[in-house]
Amino acid sequence: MGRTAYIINRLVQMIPTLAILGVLTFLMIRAIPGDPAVTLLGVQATPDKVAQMRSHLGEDKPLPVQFGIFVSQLAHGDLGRSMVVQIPVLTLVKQRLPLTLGLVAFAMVIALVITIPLSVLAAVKRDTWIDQAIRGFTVLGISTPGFWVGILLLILLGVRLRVFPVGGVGTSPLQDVYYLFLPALTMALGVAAVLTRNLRDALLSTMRSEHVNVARAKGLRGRVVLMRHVVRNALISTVTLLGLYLGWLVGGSVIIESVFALPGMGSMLISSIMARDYQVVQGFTLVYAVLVLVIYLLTDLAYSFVDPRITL
Amino acid sequence: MSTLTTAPVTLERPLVERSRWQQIRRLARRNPTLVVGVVLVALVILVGVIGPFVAPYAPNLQNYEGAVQPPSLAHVLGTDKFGRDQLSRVLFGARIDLALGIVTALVPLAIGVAIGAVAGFYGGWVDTIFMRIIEIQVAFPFYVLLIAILAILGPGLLNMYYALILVGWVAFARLIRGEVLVAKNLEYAVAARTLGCSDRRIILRHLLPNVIGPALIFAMSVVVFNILAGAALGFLGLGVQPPTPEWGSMVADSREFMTSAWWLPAFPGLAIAIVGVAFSVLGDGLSNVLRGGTR
Repeated sequence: MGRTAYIINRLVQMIPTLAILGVLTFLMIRAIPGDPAVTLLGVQATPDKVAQMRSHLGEDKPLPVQFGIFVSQLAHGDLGRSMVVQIPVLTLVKQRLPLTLGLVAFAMVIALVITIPLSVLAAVKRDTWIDQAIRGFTVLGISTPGFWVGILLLILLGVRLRVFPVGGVGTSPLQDVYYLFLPALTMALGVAAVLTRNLRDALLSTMRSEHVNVARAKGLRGRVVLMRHVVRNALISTVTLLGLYLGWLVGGSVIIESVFALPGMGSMLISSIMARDYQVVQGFTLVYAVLVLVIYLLTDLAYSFVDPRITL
Repeated sequence: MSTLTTAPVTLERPLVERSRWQQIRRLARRNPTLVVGVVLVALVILVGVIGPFVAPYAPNLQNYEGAVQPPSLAHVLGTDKFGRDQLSRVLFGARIDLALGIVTALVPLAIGVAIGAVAGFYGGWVDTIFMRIIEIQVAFPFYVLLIAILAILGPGLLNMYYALILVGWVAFARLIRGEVLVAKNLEYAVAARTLGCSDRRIILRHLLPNVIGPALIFAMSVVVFNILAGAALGFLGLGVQPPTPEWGSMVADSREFMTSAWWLPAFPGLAIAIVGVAFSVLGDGLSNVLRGGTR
């Protein structure tokens, strides 16, 4: 199967999944206790006003009709309107998605910058104190809560040493890199720990394989063997994990955005839950899910680029 | 065993029958990670059990004159904004965070093993429905799914249990399903069937003991993961509600004093990290046992 055919096939396969996702998010919002009309108007509102608001929100219609409206809106790219800030949810997504995506991508880059040298070092210096120290780092990275590491970094580098800003975003892309460094680093540490552990094991098992012996027997220099024959092959197994953890970072960004007060989708998701702004919760949840599906698709594609043996 | 054939000397007792102490020593030599893990987890659980009895103060005892004090002899870990003793709160919190992590790993383990075994063994419509559920679930980022469920159920400790269990069983089921798919065609399973064993007996007595190892190890990382998740949700205000001492929400409460009172976020977070490391090391030790290696 060609790559294009594969992509089309995968996209078609995504349709039923997306449909179920849509139904789930729709039902989810309706399952939340409390009447949005009352939430909007306050508890002192007269029954008349509440009824008026309910019909304004379309809540007086039967559930299947509401679902029909939801689907047809969705088909037109309309995710509804925030009940609190009175802005279309799609506009909010457009405003906030870039920051979340940037943060996730930045975190992944940092994670790789940490992972590759550390795991090569650990594998080459196997069973020495260096290896032990790096393994200690991986256990710590897996076991410590990201939001706590974030706060400690904030206290140390933001408040005490004043090297980094304590939150918010910059005014230019270059400044954003500076502003987003601490949150991205916080997210990257946990992922780097998992990836390092995995890549170290992959490197060690690749080192024992025959093609590496052949390369050594040919008299290639140690560095060439390591970089061209060991690292490249071992990285392939890590690519799958990478996709998985990109999806994971998307979820983790919700918490880290809240810690660093970043105006991304995650911090708004949390504040919308607190404010019972269900349209936003519904729209954002759906966008997150689509984002992850797309990331998985891209990972599978990347897989075939990295490893030519894999036909899609 | 080569030891038996090469030992012509008379022994006071047969070599194969080691005393329990010798067995433990041998295990400790071959798998120090496991021993360290067991000891750490035992200590952590001990703190959870006896913590409330050894805590110097009541966890919610307020004292406005002694609010936000740095660590001292009277308050080893300092006091929070209500003048509550932080050591006592961390000790009381151990129970809440540990119980959450352990229960929300074991219940999904049991549910997941049951569903995964049935789906893998029988295939058919059970398996089809199950695979659909997986597909849907992986599309949601873990935290977004948890947060969405908590948005429906409402914040709170009990709802956090429900949410983590609801989300957690799928991974176990997937793991067991995969293992059972392979194992049911292996010789011992086929032999059991040829001997006329019932499906129930094949699954419970033949397949599960052989495939449950990876799921148990995975459960250890789920304990870590769920303690972190529980703390993160507490941190976001979606989990345990005040004034219950829970480590994540303690870190969250400390944020307004971030610039001045480092001890407020530092110690509850450290407690989470210690518990996390304990279960991670235990999981590594168990996985060494499963792989049969020494490291």
